[in-house]
Amino acid sequence: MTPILEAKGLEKSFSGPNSKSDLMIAVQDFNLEIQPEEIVCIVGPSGCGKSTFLDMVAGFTQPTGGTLKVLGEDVKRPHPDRGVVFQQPVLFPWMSIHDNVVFGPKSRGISAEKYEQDAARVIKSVGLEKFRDHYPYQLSGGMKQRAQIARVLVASPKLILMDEPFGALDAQMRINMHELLISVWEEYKPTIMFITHDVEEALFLADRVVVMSHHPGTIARIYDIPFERPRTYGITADPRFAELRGEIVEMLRAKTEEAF
Amino acid sequence: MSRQNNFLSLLSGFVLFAIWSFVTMTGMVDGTTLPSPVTLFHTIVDLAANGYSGSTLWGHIGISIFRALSGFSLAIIIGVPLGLMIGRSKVLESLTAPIIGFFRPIPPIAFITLFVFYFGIGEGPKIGLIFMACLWYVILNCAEGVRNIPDLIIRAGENIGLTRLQLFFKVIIPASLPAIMTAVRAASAISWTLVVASELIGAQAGLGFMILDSAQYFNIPVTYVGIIIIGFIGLLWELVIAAIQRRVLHWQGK
Repeated sequence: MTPILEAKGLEKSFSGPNSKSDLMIAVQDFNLEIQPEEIVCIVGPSGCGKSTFLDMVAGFTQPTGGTLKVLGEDVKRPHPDRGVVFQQPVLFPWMSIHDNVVFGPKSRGISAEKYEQDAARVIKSVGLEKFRDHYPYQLSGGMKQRAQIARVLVASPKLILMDEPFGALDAQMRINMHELLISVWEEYKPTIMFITHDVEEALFLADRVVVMSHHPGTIARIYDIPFERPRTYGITADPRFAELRGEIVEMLRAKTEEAF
Repeated sequence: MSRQNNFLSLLSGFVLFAIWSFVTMTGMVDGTTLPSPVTLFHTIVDLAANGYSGSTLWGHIGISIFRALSGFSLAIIIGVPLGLMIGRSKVLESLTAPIIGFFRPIPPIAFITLFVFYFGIGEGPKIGLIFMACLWYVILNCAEGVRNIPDLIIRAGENIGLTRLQLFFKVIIPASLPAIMTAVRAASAISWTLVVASELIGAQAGLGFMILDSAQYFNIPVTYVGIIIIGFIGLLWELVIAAIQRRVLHWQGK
């Protein structure tokens, strides 16, 4: 089976502010495969290059070395097949939630009958039916993130890229969003690459947790998460959960100290 | 605005009117220097019936509005697209920056005599002057609006599969609307302010002409009536633009 995502020896460096020789290496020797329907969470200290990796997968920036393939093809530019849920609630503020969701398919020339049907389904899946005609400013932070998820889902993406999407929400809202994401996954079975610095969030959601270290940003270790699906919040009380959390947190701390 | 605030606004207007009436009607101030409300009322009735210097009162008002609106509209029609493109293109920005940078700080009134010399004393130089004063402001504000669009919203547009053209017309233009509306609002104020100045250029009609001409003949009541009419039209115009702005930008939730 072709993996959904395949990164081999991936590298991204930025030239420094003063001269070309002043290279800043953000990501180096990065190797990762993601299989269909997997949820992979990438955790790492801030500045470790996890968002840089996501930007490359999204096609916002180009790698400076190695290969990056999605479904066997090189990533060249942004595409709705690789839908991004941004950390900030990036909706188009002059459009209603419904219009935000259908904007993409409508602009790509998909028939109104098809996109209206798809939009109704995804808006229902994220629980925003009652708010379809609201404007973004009328929604709470959590609702805006639901709307972003709907905007991504409507294109039936091969891979959903989530960049710390729930980082700005309060604890209770975050738990609701985790449950929502799990139910969306059960319904659509998308492949998800999820970036976070919250180890518990990663353990609750992921099939595999990728731990990154920085300077340069690369994979320190990949953990298989053994909990069966469907998961409930009950697993956070499981002793294996505490054990994994302790191990990963310890590892992140050690890696951060090494860097200084 | 709360009820109390409305009341306070009414009150201050009323107090100003009362002081004005008091000092003029009791003879504390010479009536030929500062006319009383009663004199002004009679003057308005007279102007409405007989006009001033060969034009009806409506004629003076109409020609001034026409000049302001023409200069203003031209500046919007040309300035908005130009500003949006300059905001998007580093090349265009570099090309235009020195020109705009040099002309913008020069008070438009400095060009009046040149305009008369080049274009005569018809409508052209008056509308041209208003146009020029509004244009720089519209261009700069729209360009700034485009530059201030958050990167993420453009990325979101690219991510859902928009083409470059769709991105410009369906994301960049609506995202710049707040800046465009600010430019429209300022340009409308500038255009109305400059009408009086533009009518210094050999005008035979218009509210500015009426003010200048009457003042030269010490017909002070007519001067005041002209100023008051300019004030009221300016206020009305501002209210209309503000209402349009609220309508167009309803999604800002203000």
